[in-house]
Amino acid sequence: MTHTKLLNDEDVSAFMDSAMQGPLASETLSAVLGSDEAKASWHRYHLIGDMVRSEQLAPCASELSFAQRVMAALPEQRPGAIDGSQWSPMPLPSGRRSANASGFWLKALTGTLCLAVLGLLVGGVAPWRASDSEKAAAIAGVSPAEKAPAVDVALEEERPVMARDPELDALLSAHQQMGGHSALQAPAGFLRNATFERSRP
Amino acid sequence: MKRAWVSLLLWACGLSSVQSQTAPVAEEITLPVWLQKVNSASRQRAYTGTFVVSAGNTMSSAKIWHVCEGPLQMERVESLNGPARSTFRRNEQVLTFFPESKVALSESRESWGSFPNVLKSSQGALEEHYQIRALPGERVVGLDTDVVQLKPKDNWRFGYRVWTEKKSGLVVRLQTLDPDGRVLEQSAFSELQLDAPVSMSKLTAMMNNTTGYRVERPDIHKTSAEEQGWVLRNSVAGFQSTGCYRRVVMLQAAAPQAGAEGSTQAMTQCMFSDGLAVLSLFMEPYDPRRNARESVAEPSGATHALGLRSGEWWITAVGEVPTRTLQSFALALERKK
Repeated sequence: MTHTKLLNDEDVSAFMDSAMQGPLASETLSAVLGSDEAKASWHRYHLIGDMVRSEQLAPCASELSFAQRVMAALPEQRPGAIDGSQWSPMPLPSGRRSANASGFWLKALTGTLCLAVLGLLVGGVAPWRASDSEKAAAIAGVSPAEKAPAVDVALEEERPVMARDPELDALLSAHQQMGGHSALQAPAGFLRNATFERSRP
Repeated sequence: MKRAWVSLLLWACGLSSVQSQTAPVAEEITLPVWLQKVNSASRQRAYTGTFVVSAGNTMSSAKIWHVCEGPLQMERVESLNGPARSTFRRNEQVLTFFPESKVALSESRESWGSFPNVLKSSQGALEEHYQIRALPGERVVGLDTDVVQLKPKDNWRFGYRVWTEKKSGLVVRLQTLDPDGRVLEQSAFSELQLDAPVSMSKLTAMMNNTTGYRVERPDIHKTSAEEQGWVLRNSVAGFQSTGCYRRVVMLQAAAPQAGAEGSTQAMTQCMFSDGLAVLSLFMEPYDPRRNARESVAEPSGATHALGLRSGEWWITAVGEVPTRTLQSFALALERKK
């Protein structure tokens, strides 16, 4: 089946809100999976939703120009860093290592979201694109036409994109096969493991 | 002036709405009771839907069919991206068809029905290491859901946020959270039809039809760490051993058309769990051609991996836990003297 549906941010948002059902939902999902930009939008909207639901907002406020550079760079971020199974050999750290490979983007988006929230308090212009600003502002409950104060945000080193490792895939499969010891396996764990991509045997 | 007061009132209403969305619901809920409910939910209803797993910038999705009759449960998972594959489950029996290679992998997930024992053996540990908290309900995939947060009490394990359908307790969305509360991975239905007319006889017929496929079964035998000559000096609090297996892992599939021979490796796999999180330690003889460098990896969302050398052995730790937990286990493993 060929999917030629053209997507915009509103389509991704409507799909996320379950406003689409049946064949339209299936077509939209297929189009999302085939579009790096749509995947980025999907991820961005989920992060925004999670930030609103979180108990506390991350420490925020970003330099206005930095946030603008981040937003301009988002569509260019390399896709497919993780595709079900990728081995990225790196030296063992001496201290604790960040568990989230996409932490850089989360911090950047978190800072940008906080721009909008703080903008309500201090007044200013939010550095969002028009469609993103309206969507994010509606979720965060703030006006899009606000200005954010400026602070420094440390950048996390971007990880290299590595090819799949079939040997690690094999160990992952062996691990997932025996995952029934988790109390969450029956509800969703099995579906999660079966849905993740696996190398062909 | 009047317009200014109306604007102020609307803003105040919006702010209070946001606050009420984030205010916790004061509802008594215990972890064992909640786990019982979510584990029995899938045994009560048939459903179809689309399941999406998203981690970082990647997504995997599959169509799902689920049906149950008495003690028998069946599922069909049809991948929508990546290598084509169809996975069927009948209770603990799992058969995965790979149409491109015409291979059907047959597995017996003996740990599948172990939940009652998992709860019994780890109940104290679960409540000691996780705190359950009810959050405001939400509407997801057209269903009213209850939302809970399972917050770890230390940094040795991840937390979870779980959305369950109000009446049945069926999990419709599950997020894994790192110690800072960031979402590592989300598994969720993007479409769900409850009480769909799924035919168990049709699913059974599809699962039994292996015509044209080479059925392979993993070479796996139950054993013990001691029997294989291993001792764990210490363990992370809350984690218990849940089994040890001697198995042959296919590292590279054979590709006769490309002239490539497959490669396998005999390994010992020991598993540990705190009732929610699971990790595996794989032990094999050290091979400098393959085990080049001690390293860590995040192959998928919540799953982390770590490889390190221990004398003449190579240990790979894999699990849905922080890297420090994998490291602690791997470093605590040693050969019996």
